[in-house]
Amino acid sequence: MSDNPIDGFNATIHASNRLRICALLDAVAEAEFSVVQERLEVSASVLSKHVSVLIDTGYVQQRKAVRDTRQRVWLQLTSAGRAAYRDHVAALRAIVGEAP
Amino acid sequence: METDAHPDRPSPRPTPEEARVALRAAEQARSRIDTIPVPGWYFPALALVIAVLALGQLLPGPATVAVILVALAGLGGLVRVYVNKVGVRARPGRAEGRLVWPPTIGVFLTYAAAAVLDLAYGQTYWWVAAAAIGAAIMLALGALIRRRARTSARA
Repeated sequence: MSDNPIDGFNATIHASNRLRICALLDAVAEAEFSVVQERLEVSASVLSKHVSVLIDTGYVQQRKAVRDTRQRVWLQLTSAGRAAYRDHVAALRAIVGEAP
Repeated sequence: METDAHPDRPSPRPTPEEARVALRAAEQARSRIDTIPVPGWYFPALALVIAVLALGQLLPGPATVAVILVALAGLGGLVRVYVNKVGVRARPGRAEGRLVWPPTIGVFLTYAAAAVLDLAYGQTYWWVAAAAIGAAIMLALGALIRRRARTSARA
């Protein structure tokens, strides 16, 4: 990887909702889909669309589990996703002019 | 700022102001985790299990082992129910993790001291004090975490 933090800028993560999803998931080991939806105040379809993009790029993985007879989806950042998110935040800080 | 940019399709880098807005949005999203309310029953139940672990030492040998095993299983089950209830599994090392370690070590040291006093001097009654201290530490931790969640939610 380059020494220039700005090179960590990631167009996939930068989309507003995807950045917020990654930020929230970076703070936890994993979170239930409905919790992410409620915390970020987005519709299920919007969240689902952005999560699909993040899954396709290998940044997020999902796990299905049954609770109270209902199937729940748990989301978590992959190690590649966590690294990409952190590189992206470092790039944003570098653009702003903050030290990473 | 919303784009459907794809990694194979280069997207223009944001201006410093756009980057600042994005960082703020990320920080706000991240802090939303801190506002998830902790179920009221969780820390009292933890305190009870912690106390049972200490009080079990007062029982005769085989019963002590049984109580410890049941309490440890209860502890695991309690955490599992909590994670399923709140829909979030914490990441070790995060703020809450750092908040949890000192009291956990405090409970451990209290129980270690009670064990030493029991084994060295036969003063088994220290287990009662240790149980009370361990439960009080858990209840205080619960109050602290719940207050933090309320404060974060108001911010």
